[in-house]
Amino acid sequence: INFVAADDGVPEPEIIIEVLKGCRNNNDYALATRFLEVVRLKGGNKMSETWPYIMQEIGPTMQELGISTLKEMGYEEPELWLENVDDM
Amino acid sequence: MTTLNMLRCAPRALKKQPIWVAPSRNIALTSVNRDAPATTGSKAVLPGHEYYPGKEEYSPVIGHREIVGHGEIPYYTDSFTVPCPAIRFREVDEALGKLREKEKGDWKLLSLEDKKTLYRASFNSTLEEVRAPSGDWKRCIGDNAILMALMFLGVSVIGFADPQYEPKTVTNEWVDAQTEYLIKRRVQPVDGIASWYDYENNKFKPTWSIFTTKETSKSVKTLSEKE
Repeated sequence: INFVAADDGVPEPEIIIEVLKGCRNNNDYALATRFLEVVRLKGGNKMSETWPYIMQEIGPTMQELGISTLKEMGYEEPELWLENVDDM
Repeated sequence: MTTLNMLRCAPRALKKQPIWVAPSRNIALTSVNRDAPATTGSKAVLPGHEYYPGKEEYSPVIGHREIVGHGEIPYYTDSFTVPCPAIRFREVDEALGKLREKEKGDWKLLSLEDKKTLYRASFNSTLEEVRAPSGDWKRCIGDNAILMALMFLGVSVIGFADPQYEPKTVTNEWVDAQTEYLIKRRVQPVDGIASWYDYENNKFKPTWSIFTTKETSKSVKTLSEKE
């Protein structure tokens, strides 16, 4: 996942589906949400165009696996305020 | 960087442990024995948690957190460039063990709270929170303002209190001698000091009163008498 995040673009839906299935095989739910956050933020300034498109493509697999969307989790906006390590 | 320094000391502390060699990816996938308990005196691994070779070496540094990645030093960071670090964030607990067993089953049965606790167990903050502004600039500007205020206080109170700290060019004697010299030399006849002095009558023109206070006006009168 770190290599996918280092790439200079939003990953294709097929890749995303494979990663989510890998998370399911390893029984790691937190990793799936983290990966979805990464995919969303990869859009950068054009997040409003890329993210809905990807949600369309992934929607069926997410319902199959039972992963809830980021909006339901409330992770599209910051949830907690944590002190930045550089400012301590 | 402190954790990396500590990791360098850890092998020396555990002298009987073998040196941990980073395995390649294929080997790691096949050699992990998920049912094996911990062999050394550390806490027994709870059911549902992973056992990874080399875990005991890092336990004095990491504590009871799981190592999830492979091929690198386990070190937790929250950043967009390295979104999935090699270790989880929270330590191993009994309640977490039950959640992990639940996680092995169908994910649709997990409630929202379960999902959130699972996330927070692995990660400290969401990536959105990493992007959120911290408001640190207010502290910087505030501290600077306080220091500047103290500086101005010090200069005004200490700098102007004792005549010892005044430069000699500020005293009236010096200024009078200066104006006398300038008028004699006829400096700045168009826009400056010589234009404000009436050479025929040896007086200052009325516009000169802008630059005088009660103290200087006395010395100016003496000057004009001298001329």
